[in-house]
Amino acid sequence: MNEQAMIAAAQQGDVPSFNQLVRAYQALVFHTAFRVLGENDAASDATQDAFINAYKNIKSFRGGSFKAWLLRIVTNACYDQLRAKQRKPTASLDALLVDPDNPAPGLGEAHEEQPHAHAERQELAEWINKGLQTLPYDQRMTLVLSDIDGFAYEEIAVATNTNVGTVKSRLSRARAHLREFLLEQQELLPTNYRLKHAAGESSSLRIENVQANEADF
Amino acid sequence: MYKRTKPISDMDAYVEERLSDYLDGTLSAKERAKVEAHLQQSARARASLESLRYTVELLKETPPPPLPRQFTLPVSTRAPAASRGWLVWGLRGVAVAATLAFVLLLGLNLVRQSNTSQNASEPLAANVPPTALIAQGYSLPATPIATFPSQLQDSSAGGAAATAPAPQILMQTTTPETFAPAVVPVTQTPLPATSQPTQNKSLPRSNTSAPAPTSVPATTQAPAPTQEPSVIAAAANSALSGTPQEPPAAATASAATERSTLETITVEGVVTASQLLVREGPGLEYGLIGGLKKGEQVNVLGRSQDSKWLYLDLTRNHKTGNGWVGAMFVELSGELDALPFYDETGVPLPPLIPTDTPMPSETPSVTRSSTEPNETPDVSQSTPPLITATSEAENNGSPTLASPATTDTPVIQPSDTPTVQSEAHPTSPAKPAGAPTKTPKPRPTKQPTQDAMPSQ
Repeated sequence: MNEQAMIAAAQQGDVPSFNQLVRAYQALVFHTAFRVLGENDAASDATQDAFINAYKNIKSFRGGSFKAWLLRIVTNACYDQLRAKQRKPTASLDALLVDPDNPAPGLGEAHEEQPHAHAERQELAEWINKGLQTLPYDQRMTLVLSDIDGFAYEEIAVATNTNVGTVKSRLSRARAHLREFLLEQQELLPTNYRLKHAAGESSSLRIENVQANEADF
Repeated sequence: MYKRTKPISDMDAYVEERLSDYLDGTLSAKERAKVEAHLQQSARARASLESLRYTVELLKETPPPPLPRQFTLPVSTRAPAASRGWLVWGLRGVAVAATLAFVLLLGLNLVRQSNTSQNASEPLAANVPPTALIAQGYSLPATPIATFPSQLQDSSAGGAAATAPAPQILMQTTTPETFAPAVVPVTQTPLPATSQPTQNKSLPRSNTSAPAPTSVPATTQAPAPTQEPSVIAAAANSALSGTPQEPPAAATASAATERSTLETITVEGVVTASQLLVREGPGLEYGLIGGLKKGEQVNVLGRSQDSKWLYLDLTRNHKTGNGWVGAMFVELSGELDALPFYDETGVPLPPLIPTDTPMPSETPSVTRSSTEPNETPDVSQSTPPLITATSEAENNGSPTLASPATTDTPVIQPSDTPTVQSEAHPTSPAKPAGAPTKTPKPRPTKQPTQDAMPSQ
């Protein structure tokens, strides 16, 4: 069943069809909620709320990008979570730690990744999360939607009920803030992911694992 | 070399503000030219751009968190209504719909009797509803009776007139979903006791054929009153044809889906890992056959003896033959316990001795009311071995069968059953030996859900 058929069936009240949609999007939704809210429980609640609301309002979907339509519901759910539970902007690092020796299924185990690289990626995830939590909510939401979920400016504008100009400026500031955070923390970042940025016009930038190609300009 | 129209500091700030847009390629041509020109001259600006680019890359690379659970909705979830607060509307709609039922019913009676005054019909109406409805097996909340007299009072004298405005009133206050099936009781055929609760779940069915479509309420209500008799007939026919055998609660819509999709005898599954490797045997030591992607549907023939690997028929996935995948990366539409065992060479094995261990499921599940016998026969013909086995076992009165009345039996297939390893099911339907899992009323739901709510 393609997505359109699933949606049509769901609009008729067919829950299993809707659940197929849930399965298709729940990873994305949870990922978004998790990065925005910073911790598992709130993200779970927001995800569940988002899907319940999506089902309740599925008839108001009139075509176009279902993902973007769902996105709007997700951002509302995240915001509700934030207000209702008054989550602190900075989540404790402990709450974010994932045991690198026992990653949960579905996280790439099937890739048979090298344990060391896997642990480093986990550590990176913790730091990104921490950095995200230092951002103001709107900037954080915009950054997550753009750079983690890959939504376009227009979609983000609809989802956050603003315009493209606001999206761009929030995004710009969010990226810059996160960049500063990572630079400040760089001694704590996993070695392979550190930014080496020396101030001053005369020095050049060296980033390990990323080639800064000046010919790109 | 330093051809600038603006001072350096302004240019730095100008470019800095636009680095993000530059990364995304959303600058105007003019702005882009300026930024690039400055980048060529300023190593600091280049460094800033690179660190920004790198930050964005890190974000994109950040591994997603593991999904803590499935977020699928229980199949008993009520159908969505067009308006918000659908639950409230649903109940209100039932009340008003019942009112309409009486009005129309009595209106028809009044037309036949002729010259019946409004006052005479009022006490008649007031007295009729409870008994008439109960006689029809139609239970009602008290509210419609209270509102009924007022409905009649609003209409002008004469039976025919009484019918016309009443539906109008109804139109304005209910959603189409409740209107269409609400018309069913008017046809004076004895209704099953389940008509009221089916209302919510049969909504999709009747909606598909009733003239009142599921979209915008306001526009669809206009034609309805004028076509009232045909609406009644059409909706009644469609709803009745759809409802007679339906169980009180949810599974109607899902049942239709299930019957149409479960044509194979294998259990279906969905790949949950982003990349799932397929092997020649049930273990990491076996060679690789290929890979499956997240979201791919698979046909599961069986499982390994330790239930950690699933044996798939790969022809569905554009490969030949069969292969094995890790069980924890496949979300089954049926019970893991229902799957037959296979040895590493792909030979089916006899079932294990059944146990009485209750089947753990991820969330507490409650059985439905046991009034779904009509569905079981349909299910057993075209559904995975689980259903067949359980039905047969149940029919054979296996002593280890959990009684249908137990309230902890999951009727909806639990979503994550790879951890369940207690009981086995025979593949051949004739064997009663397998103690079925606690699903005496197997739900042919294709999609596993978390909670099975009791029927309303």
